[in-house]
Amino acid sequence: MVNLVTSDNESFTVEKAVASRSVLIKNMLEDVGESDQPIPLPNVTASVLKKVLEYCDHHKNEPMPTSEDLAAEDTRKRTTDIGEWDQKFIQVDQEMLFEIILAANYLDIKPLLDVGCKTVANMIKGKTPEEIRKLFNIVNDFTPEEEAQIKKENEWAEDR
Amino acid sequence: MSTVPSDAESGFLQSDDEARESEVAAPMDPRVSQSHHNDALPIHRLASEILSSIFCSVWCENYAQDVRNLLNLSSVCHHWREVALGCPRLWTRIKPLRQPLFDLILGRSKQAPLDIEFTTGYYIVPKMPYQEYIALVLPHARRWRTCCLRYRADAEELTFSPLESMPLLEALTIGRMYAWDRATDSEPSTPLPPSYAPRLGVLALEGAFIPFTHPFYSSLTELSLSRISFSKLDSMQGLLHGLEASPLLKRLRLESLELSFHITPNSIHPSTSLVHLHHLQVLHIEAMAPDWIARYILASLAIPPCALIKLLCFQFSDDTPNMSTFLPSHEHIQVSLPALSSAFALHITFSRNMIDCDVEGYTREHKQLFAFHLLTLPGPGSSVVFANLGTILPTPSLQSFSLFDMNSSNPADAAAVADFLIRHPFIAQLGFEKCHESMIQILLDMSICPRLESLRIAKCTLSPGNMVEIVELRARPKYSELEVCVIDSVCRLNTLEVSGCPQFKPILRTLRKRDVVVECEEE
Repeated sequence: MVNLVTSDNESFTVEKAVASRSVLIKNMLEDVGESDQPIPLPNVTASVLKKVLEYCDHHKNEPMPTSEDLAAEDTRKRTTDIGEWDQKFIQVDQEMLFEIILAANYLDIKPLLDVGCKTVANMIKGKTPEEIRKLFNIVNDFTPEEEAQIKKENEWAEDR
Repeated sequence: MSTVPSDAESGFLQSDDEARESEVAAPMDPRVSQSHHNDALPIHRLASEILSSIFCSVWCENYAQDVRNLLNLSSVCHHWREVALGCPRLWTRIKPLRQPLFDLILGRSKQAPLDIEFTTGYYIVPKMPYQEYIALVLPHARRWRTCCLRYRADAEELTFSPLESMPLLEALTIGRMYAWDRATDSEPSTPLPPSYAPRLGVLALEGAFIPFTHPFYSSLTELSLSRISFSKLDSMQGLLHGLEASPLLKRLRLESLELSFHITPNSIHPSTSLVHLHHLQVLHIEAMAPDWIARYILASLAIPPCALIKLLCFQFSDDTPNMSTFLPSHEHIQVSLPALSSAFALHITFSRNMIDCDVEGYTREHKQLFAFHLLTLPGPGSSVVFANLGTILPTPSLQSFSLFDMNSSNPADAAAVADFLIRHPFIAQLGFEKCHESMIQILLDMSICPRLESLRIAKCTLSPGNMVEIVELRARPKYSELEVCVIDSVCRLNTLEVSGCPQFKPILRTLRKRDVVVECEEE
């Protein structure tokens, strides 16, 4: 078993197979060897880690991403399909969604990061800039000159 | 080329220092407070690399919509624009567009590897002519990662010359648009000089031909050739040399290859040395003319047992009377094409009034081993299929058989099925779906499938009386172990599954008087 300690000082004891879905933790365990020492995770809160561990537990028996999978990172993703379980898992509010993405990035859990990114991608796909701004509460901070340039680009696209 | 102001020129991408300076110089500028507002948003806690990963996942098959999406992403706010324009891989899909937009996207791809695609056809009018497109992308050949060119043979000529080296090229598709456009080996439609493409792994030629001596054929993992006419036997044999040069091949698809000269099958002999493709996962051979080309190729290959073999669109006629026209010898199949001889289960499906026949083989674990799509002759065709199973196609491990849509009332067809089953006495699982009752009535003969344990009948018109009779003959009586079956070895049926057969509902109690589990969907 592995003991993980969150930024808000909560302890989680989990199976090694579950914790090792995180490449960061896996490497730490390999470096430290057999030890009872808790592993501090200063960038992850308890509520987020709980969610991340739920994902890791569900996927603990799956093969880790191969070097081929990682090489594919260089190209654009041609599918935004998300597995059924993952879709339900990631049905959280925006705040938690971004926290999960940040945690997946910090803990180096590529498949979870992928699920998070695809989820956000699905949210913005096909939306106009104004709709995207509304979705994330973003304010248009372009200057009039910038607006003019963007307008021109969009006209070229309309003219296709 | 039109002149598109670069993003740097248009003054969009200020550095952080510049942004801070302008903030100090104009403290009341509402844009500054808007930027501060944006900075504090939850989504902007994500690092730029993550945001660009998200953008890269916004992919759409429809290119126009894809471009629209990219422009939208770069029109949300200053930060998103900065991220989108700072991510070249977002802009690497290059298809014909109106020139200012084409230049904009190509410019934003910076030095990233490109995905080149030109497609034309009756209903697809590209935004620029082929020659203009190729002239724009050819200078970037060193950056091509994938290249797909589908052009009209009557209007456009594929010109690569002078072809630069393509050190990043991983996949190349060259195709003529229409099904009737064929390439011939005498006039290669793609006058490619030997070019440097060391990473090329996937090659697809559709109505286009590149001689098999071309370096492109080395080290491939996927090869697809379709609509090519061979005027010389050497070219056909050259295909095998091409395969030899790619021992790591995982997928091989050969479709609509034909010999444009007459030659009898007897005057061509398989190569004495086999081409070993140890890594092959899928072999797809479809619509060869004449059919025996498939046999020639199969007889020259040795592939692993796990490879899926698909042989599609082979016709039974007076010239090609049975499967031996496209399958090699029994011995070769067993030694070099083990997937064809290790089926645990066979599924046979007829359609279009018994003209189309699909034969599929599976392992015990339901993994598909092979699939044939045959065009049979109405009448004797179906009988030939059954006669070939276990003779021309070896089936030593067969224990499960399912027949679909065999609704022929021709006694010869039922006799063919009966003969096939008699030759496979180890079959323990049988299934009939949408079949004529005569196909199932053969089970009243105890010499057919003496080891039958499981029977599935779906949407068949078998009479209740025949059903009761079959079960009484093949299942042990319940609660009466001492009762002696006529031949104990034939009393093994222990599972009966029926669905879509309402006529059996009234006899379910009678059936269950025997020692058999009866599962009925209608209950």
